[in-house]
Amino acid sequence: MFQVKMRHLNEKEVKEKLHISSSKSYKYVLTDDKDLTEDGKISIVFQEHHMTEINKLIDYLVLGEEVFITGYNEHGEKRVDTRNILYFIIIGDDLHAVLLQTRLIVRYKLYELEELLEQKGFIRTSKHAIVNITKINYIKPAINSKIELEMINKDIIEVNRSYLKSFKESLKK
Amino acid sequence: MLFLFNNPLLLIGLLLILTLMFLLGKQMVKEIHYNHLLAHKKRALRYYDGEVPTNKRLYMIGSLALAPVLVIGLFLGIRLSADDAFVDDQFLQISNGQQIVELQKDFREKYLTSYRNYLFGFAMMEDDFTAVPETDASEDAGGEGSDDYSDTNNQVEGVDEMDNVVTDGKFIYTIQQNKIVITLAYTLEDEYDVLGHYKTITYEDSFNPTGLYIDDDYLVVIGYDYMQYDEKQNDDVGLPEGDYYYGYYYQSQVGVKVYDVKNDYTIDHSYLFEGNMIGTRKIEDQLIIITSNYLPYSEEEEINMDEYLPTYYVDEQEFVADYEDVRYIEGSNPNVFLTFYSLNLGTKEVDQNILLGDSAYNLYVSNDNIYLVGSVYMFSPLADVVNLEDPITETKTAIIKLSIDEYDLTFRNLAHIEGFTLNQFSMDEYQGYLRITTTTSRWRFGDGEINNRLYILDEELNIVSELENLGKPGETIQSTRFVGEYAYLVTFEQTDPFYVINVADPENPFVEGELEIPGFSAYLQPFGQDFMLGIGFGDSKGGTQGVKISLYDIRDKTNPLVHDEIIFEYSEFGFAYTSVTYNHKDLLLSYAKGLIALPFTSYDYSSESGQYYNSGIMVFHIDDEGMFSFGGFVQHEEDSEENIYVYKSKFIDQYLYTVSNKYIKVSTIEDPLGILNSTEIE
Repeated sequence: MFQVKMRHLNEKEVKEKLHISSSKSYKYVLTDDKDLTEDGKISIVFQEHHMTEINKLIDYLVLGEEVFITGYNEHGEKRVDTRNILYFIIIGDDLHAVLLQTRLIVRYKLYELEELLEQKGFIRTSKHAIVNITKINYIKPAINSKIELEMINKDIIEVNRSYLKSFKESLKK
Repeated sequence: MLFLFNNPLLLIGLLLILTLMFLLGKQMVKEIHYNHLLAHKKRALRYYDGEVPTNKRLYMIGSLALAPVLVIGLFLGIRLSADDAFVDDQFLQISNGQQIVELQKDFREKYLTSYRNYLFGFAMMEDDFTAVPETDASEDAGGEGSDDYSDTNNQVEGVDEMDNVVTDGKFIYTIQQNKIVITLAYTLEDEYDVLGHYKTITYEDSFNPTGLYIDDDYLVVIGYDYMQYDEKQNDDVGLPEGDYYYGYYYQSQVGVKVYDVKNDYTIDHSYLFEGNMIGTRKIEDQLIIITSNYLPYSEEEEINMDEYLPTYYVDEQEFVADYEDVRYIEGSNPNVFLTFYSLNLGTKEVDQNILLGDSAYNLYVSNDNIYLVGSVYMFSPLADVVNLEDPITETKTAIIKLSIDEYDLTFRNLAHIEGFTLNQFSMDEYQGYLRITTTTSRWRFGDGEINNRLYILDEELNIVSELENLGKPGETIQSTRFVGEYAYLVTFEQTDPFYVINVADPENPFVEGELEIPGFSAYLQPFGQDFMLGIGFGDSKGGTQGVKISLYDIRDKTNPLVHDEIIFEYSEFGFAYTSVTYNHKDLLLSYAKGLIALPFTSYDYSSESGQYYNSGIMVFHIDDEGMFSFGGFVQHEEDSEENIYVYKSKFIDQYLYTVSNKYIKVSTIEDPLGILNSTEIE
């Protein structure tokens, strides 16, 4: 997505600070020298003291705007940032949004959330669940071609055989 | 590989382990791959903790996959680390008593699953002479002795072997039960007239002399001593009063007493070595003593090996071995401490080297090295981990070599060869090479084909060459003698092939000549350059019912001949034997004097006189042409009511001295029967 081209600053340090890596098919050029900008690309020229703002900008470019959804539990209705949700799962007739400390019942269809959150790092793992990739702690492939995902709260979510291929591809994207 | 096919269960197990290792390995690779992708994805999603996650599970899978490798690695590691502790890669250094107990346990666990229980080695008690009765009388000892007298019939020139009768050209020293009798035999002035008792050394304690060495400075007396060291009481073993407990424990000891010859045989110093005697040699003023101490084994009791560490005393001062002086040969039964002592008779210093192993059975000592042979069991390497039906893959002979550097002995090398040696004459060192003959599957080792071999080993005991299948099928080696660049070998089953083997080129020994005759020689000794004397068994009918003395003509190595022979048939003499067939030191031989003399004993029974017994020295003269002529049969009392056993002969100048348990008699070599003088030593 990005190409980093530095003249004065250390390129490696900049990448570490901005949590990015250069890629061949890039859309943005990040540079500290306006002579290094490229035609046909969106160039961002910045100085070292702009680093924090640039970070926020990149967050926005990568993740887009924050998405909030509303759900409820026994304590009432809540509005939460989807980035805090570990996974969504259908239990009975309800769709649950599982957070680290609590869970909410949300009034969405699973396919609606799948579409809404595709760009936010969520991925379908079975007919009943969508998982936030950043909240996966560890992936355990099983001998029978299934995959188990250990979430940061130690819950285990299974990736069904029919979703395995798309799961792998989304990890590679 | 063949071993795996012969053990299908092991093969299946191994395949299962390999399959499991493969699956687990594949799983690990997959898991690492997925989690790398996950970390990468998290970083792409601006999730900053996107390190590659690790998990105990991965360690577990890894451990499981590597477990068999680790087990095998550990197993090999232990073996390798054990090897590391080997001195010169061959002798394992012992560090403590518990290690010995473990070695014993390990050996038994492996060994006792074998059916070959009869393979245990046996101790050799070399030079265990029959003691003869005591003496009295006394006389003056003025005058010089002769320089022309008979030494002990040693295998190697310069390496003295102890004997029960020795002479220094003036005195004859004999052992009479618990006494050493010194008889004045000859002086240049009065010759044989002086024959008479000179001195008696009597041992009042438990010392039992068995062998003597004499030189210009020292008279060395070697014998056994017994010490009761553990008398258990009935209470100790839980027996009721009145029952007798037979558990008296005697510690056998080897005693060495050194007398000053120039100071009228006063005691100079003495040594005591705990253990049984394996053998002894003397090279100038260095005395070599080899002892064995049996080690107990118990599965119930904890044995303190410290109590069994070889101990010796110099003039009653005690010295106990350290474990670090102990070496072990892998595969040998760790039931004996074999201790090699080197004594400097001048300084009384003692060098002690200990080998933990099985009992040895043949000793050969050259001027530079000691070679001791014993049996070892070659275990299958898997015997440590798998309970095999027969863990012993083969039984071999181990040759242990120690170098003699001044007065110090050092463990040098170890070699394993096939077969068993017959006696000390099976070995010979020549220009640094050890030549050795062996027979596999002698009667006591039952199974398999008989194979007689000659090996030549270099200084590091690497096998340089090997001749196999000597003799005809079914024949075993009866005697060997190495003389310089030739080996003479007698094999026997029904006839006696006498082989001349050219060993001049250590890498290419070959049978150069062969002779087939009835009977066989149990002892071979060179007689000058041209002849080989053979003493053994044979009769005129082609069997072995008699004592046979042969002189082989070995001038033409390609065509050895029987030059002359004499046979004493049992049908004529009654059952007869000569001790030379098993004790070469009883043979008196002088090429210069054309003399061969050996003890000869016959038993018979007649209805008139009952059983009779004849013992004497058979004397032969050999002329310049190498032909035997019978010189006479010297007996000390004819038709005696006592059993007078004439067991040794010596010469001083032209006189022949014959020694029995009652007399020393002197005659000329020329006329052995014409007794000139006699002294009673009983």
